[in-house]
Amino acid sequence: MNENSDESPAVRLTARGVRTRARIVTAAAELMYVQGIGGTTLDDVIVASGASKSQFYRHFDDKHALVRAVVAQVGEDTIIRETNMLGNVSTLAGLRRWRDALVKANALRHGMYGCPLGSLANEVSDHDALARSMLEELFGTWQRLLNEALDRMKDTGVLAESADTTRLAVGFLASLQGGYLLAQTARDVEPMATAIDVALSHLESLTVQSRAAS
Amino acid sequence: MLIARTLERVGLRQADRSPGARSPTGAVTEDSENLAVAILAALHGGATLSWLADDRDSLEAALDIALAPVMVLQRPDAPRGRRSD
Repeated sequence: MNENSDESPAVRLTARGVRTRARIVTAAAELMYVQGIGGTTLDDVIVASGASKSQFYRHFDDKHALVRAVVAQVGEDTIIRETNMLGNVSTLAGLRRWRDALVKANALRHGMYGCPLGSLANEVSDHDALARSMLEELFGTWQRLLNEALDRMKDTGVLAESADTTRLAVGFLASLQGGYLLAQTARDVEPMATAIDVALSHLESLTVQSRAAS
Repeated sequence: MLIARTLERVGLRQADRSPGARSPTGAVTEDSENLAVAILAALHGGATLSWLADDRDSLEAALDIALAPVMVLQRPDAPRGRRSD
């Protein structure tokens, strides 16, 4: 770029710094997903990311800071994925496709590691109020995406007007998260599929069509 | 397992009460296993969300949905109405 500008080295350093930081966060996210937060040491992360100790500490003061960076990264990935998957859903079939995609993705790993964001939520320490509030906000966004999909189903006349979409969205997210946990324990994706299916059949009973038939 | 057996007791009692019901044992057993999984999932997932939000609403909403099929069983008119349709 601009060779004789004073800014050049700083810009280059920053760009490299950004890359190093991203490499550390990616390595930490992968390790924490597989080994858990508790099972991942800073030395593991330093080795896996190929960064030096001094590079690591330039970006993160301690493990709490690293965990928060991982929560932010995994949260962003999750919300992007869920926005893509739920953003246009307005039918029961669309919601089933969402379910199929999540179950299929989890089946690839025999459900062993659970939901990347949910696992963090289950492991983040009671004492880390900041990480907890970040997770609360992320799950709130996820819940809102589900809520909006259910509202569209109401707008298009699929869901009965009386359906409480806010509570339904919470219930769906909880079933999904609990399903991930049961799949992890069973090392089998089946309980996760079952948990979402029961929630889906409840939703089906709230459709205008089903109401008219009963 | 404990939840599934409890659901069977609730389901079977309902079936006994319901006039003209064909023996629903098989169906109830199959449902009770699935429902037990769903209730356990709702408990776990709802507890996680409730803990994050420091609020019991999530757990309540999750259990309401998972228990909805059982609540339908408890309404004496519901299964009868469905069968006569």
